[in-house]
Amino acid sequence: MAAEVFISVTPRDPVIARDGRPFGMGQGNRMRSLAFPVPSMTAGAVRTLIGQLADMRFDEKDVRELKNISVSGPLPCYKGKLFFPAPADIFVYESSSGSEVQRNHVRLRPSQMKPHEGTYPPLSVSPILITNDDKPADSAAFWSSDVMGNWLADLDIVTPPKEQNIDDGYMPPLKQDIRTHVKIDPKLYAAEESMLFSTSGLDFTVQGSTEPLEVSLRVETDRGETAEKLATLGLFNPLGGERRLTLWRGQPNPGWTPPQPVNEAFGKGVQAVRLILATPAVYRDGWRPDWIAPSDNVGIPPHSNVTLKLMSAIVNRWQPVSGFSFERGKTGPKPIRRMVPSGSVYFFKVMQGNPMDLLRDCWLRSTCSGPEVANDGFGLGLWGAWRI
Amino acid sequence: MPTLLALSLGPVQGFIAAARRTRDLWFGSFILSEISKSVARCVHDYGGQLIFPAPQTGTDLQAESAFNVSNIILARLDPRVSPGDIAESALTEAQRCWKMYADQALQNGRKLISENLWGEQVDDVLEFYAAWCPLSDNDYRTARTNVMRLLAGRKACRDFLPAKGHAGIPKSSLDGARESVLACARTREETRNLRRKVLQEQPELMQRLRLSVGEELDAVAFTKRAAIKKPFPSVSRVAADPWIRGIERDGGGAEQVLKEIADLCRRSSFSTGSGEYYRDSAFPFDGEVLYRGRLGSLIADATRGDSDPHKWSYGEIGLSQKDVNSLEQIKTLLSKLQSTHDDGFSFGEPNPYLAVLVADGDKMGKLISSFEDEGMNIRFSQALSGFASEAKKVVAECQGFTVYTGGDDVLGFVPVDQVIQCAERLHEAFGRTLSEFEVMADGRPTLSIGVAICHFLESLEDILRFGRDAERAAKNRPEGNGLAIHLYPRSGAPILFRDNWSNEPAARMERWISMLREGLLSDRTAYDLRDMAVDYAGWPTTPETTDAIKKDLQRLLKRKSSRGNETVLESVANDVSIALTRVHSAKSGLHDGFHLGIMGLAQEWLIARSMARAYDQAAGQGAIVAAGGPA
Repeated sequence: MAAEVFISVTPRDPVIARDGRPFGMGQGNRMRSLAFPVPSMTAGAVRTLIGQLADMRFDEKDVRELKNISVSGPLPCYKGKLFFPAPADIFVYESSSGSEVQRNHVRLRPSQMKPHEGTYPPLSVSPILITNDDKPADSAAFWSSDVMGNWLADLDIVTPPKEQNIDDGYMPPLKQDIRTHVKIDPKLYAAEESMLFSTSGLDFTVQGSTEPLEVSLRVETDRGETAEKLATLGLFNPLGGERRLTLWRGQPNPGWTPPQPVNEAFGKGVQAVRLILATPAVYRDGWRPDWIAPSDNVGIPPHSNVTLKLMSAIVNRWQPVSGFSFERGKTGPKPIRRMVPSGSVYFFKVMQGNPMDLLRDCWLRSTCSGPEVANDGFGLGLWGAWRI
Repeated sequence: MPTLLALSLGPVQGFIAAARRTRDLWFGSFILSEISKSVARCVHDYGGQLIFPAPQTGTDLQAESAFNVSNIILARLDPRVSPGDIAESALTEAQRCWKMYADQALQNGRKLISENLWGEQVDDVLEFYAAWCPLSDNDYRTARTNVMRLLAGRKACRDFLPAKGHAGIPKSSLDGARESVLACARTREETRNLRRKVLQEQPELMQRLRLSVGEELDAVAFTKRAAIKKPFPSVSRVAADPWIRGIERDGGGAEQVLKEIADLCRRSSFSTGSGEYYRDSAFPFDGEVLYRGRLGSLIADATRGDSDPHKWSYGEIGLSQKDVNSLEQIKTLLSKLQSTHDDGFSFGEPNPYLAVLVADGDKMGKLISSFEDEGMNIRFSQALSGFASEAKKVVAECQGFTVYTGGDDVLGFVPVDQVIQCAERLHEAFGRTLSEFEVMADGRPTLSIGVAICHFLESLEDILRFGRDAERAAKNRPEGNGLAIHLYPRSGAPILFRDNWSNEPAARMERWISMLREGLLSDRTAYDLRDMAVDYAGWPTTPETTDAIKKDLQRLLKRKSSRGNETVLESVANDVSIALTRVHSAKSGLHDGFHLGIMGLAQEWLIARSMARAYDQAAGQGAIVAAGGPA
């Protein structure tokens, strides 16, 4: 059985999680960052580090071996607690009377259309019922595992406030730190004319706190020696564009296990479950998990023996992911893939099996079937209950 | 029973937001409106009664008419037709319209395109969703709520197919969401040569694309550039507008020199025209050549060898020796216009700042939800169309141009000296046009307007972001009805201002600007006031504090006014006391903790100070000399 190790990555500088736009001489003068690192970025960094620690030559055999290492994440981690992307099945809105503004929320749930109602293009699952006509209000980007635990257990939560405070369990989106750089003429040691470029990096500092915001990763490897090195890790390592520095340390499990309210809810017996993506997913079929048969919407998630029927889904617009391959013989831009955004929600009815098994076998495991995307940490699943 | 049908088209982001130049932005908005129009026409041809948009003439729905259609369509359908069939036909029509423009682009640039990738991408661009529900005779309100909720519910699951990704191909420079469709060779150098060869053979395509070396375009971005030939003003032209008008106002030799520069641009291939805008101006061209720094870069690029890696644009590669000579001539003429020496006209360099204006109606959703019958909704749609036409006219009269005016949304670029007046006119026009709906809206419908003043060399992506941030700040109160002006200096933190229209912020800003121009407020005053805001940080908000601040401010104004005048100081003091009791800006993170009243006023003055320069330039040399101010 593969050994499980947890790593915390603390950015020293703003991290540039590059988007796909070209950057370089004449190709674009701004290196842009996504809102949060994608799984393939951190998985690549982990494998490169493991290869370097093991003095690998990165030949074909080494690369094959490294690709077999499963890396899950990245997930924000603060004061030893995991945070998850805000789920898409909450609708936060503001209503005002006079100068008084009230924030409220509703749960979004599947519904049945009434006679003579319809939608196009046809969808084989039920539409989502929106019961509010207000505009969605700005809300937290990440929720603490405590808040998420209650939400997944279908319990009440405090409406995410407008001013988000990470200590209250609601984390705002990471700020983008934009810096302007010059190219230095190596002969004159002066800035070259017209050679300006800028970078946009993710600022991980938490205002008013000395505690760092970290990124947590889970690594599973068959190599005991590697696991040992990672568990006792403590070094600076580059991450993302511009090779910005981050501190890598082995850490005890910061909560990659189901929160108590979810265990309790499932313990009481549930007939319907929700899958919320903790990291973006890359499914072979696009938006639909590739283990769900399009003919009857029934399937069994990877690592599990529970049969589920897809009833509905909340999936926002696809996001692109590509990257640059340094693999020998394949050097160059990787193909574009379309990700289901993190926070997307799939609603299932349990057809067969014990839903508790999903918590035991599938909690924060990849819901993608392709071995490569699964090992990169795409589509990590959080499982919760809902009333059908 | 009749049916209420709602349709939604996209992606708005892919068509509009991904842009490097104003023309990309305008064409993206234009094409989305044309696709939506073709869908509306299809519904209408099937006997559907359009509710939003609500065309008033038979020509409104014709292709490329001036009528703008937003990406949401609402219609009542006859009970005998199948809504599903109409939705399907509407999608076919939307795809036909999109492909017509894409095909035109392909025809114009086929040699530059990898056709396999092109075909894959063109078929997978449009997003189309529809929803319908029964519409009973006496309950339009409920039916409309239902159908919009159904549509939102359908859009909550954006089913998509996987990408047909290809390894080794760079991604679009505009949004990185798709692979480039531009032909590639094995190496970067070979790619560069291949593209250069094609563009040199097709100078018109080179002019349309204005492709930078290394820039990559996907099918949407390529279509936006190459489908039709229609020039559009650049941000540099808007920024330089007050300076150009100043020269026109003075006339004489300076205007003659400016016209000579325009003639050189007209006969060149380095400058594009401004299309239907600035036609009557002495200088209807891209404004870059009017800035010495930019002109220097153009000349440097044009005279570099083709293999020089510092060569950025294929446009410059195509410049002839005649073009280079024209650029050198412009340099001499520009120096004559700007120089303060004996033979110069002393106009200095044009102010490099321009304003982007983003406006949006307040609580429109709530208002529409209150309509009891579809007739009222149709009248509302027509009123909004009327406002959109008027908004386009108002912005043009204020020497700017709109990229988009649809419904209650306006996105335009306006010279700095005109933008306050422009915003005020738009706000007034909106309330007047929608006054019929005053009762349902619980007061006259209002328009929140965000204005961002920024340097023309900022990337268009940033300029748009600044504009949208300002719009968000303007709306960032429960009552909406705000005006926000954000100044983004080339270096340093942005300066933010927001007030409710009921406090007449536009008139107040105009007053500060004229006082600064007349020397009644000195340039330093705004900074000294900002220091005062820091000094008074943490003081309690009591009448005693306000009195102390007022007296301190009076002392400051007396000391700093370059033309001391007791009466004027008293009138300022009155404005000041009003300003001190008002919390000016939304919580910004920039100034929190200081005395908000004084800081708000300091921000107003700092923004006014920066805008005053454009007013001076627009007034021409005569006005500056008359005022005894510096050139």
